[in-house]
Amino acid sequence: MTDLINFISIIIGGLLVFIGGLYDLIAAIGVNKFPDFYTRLHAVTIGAIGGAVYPIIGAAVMILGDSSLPLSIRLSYVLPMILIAVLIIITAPTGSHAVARAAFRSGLKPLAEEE
Amino acid sequence: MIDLRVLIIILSMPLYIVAFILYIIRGVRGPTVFDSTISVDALCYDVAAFMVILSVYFRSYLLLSSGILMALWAYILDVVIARYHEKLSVAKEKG
Repeated sequence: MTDLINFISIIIGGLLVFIGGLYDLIAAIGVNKFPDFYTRLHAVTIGAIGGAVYPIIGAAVMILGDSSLPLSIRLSYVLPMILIAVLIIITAPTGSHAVARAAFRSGLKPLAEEE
Repeated sequence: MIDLRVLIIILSMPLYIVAFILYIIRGVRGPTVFDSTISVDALCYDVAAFMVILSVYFRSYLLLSSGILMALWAYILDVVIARYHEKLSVAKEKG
């Protein structure tokens, strides 16, 4: 029974880590390909949430199902990971919104208005 | 026999490293300062996530505290640059 839970946690956590890497790669390609600051901001926010929060939750699931460590050691991994994930969820949209507002107010026009 | 966790982490490491290199390219090239800012911002969040994954790989929870600092530092970078440029634009409008 413990072996089954261990295996399922490895599969779920590994899928989250791998999907997070794919999100990261797609966001980085988008940052290099998009023509404008505002469209690049869209790609970067996808990279911050999908590419940072999902792998952290996946790593937490992975280490939580590791039955070779005692529970107190596992919790000392998992609680800081959840703290980092919550901090990124709160701060990433706030920061990119602040940068977008500053860019718009300092006169950076979107691509559609430049013609 | 190699651990399955280590295998998954080794398989997903090249994705993160290529993403880091592409973010660094945009951060150096970026035509305006805001492009460089959001690029470095996303790079910091990804380094925080990569440190968490490395802490599973190396079995050391001391790496997690630096991950917290990376996440907060990216937010401070965003807010400081946004405030500076907003104040600059207000000062330009007033003359």
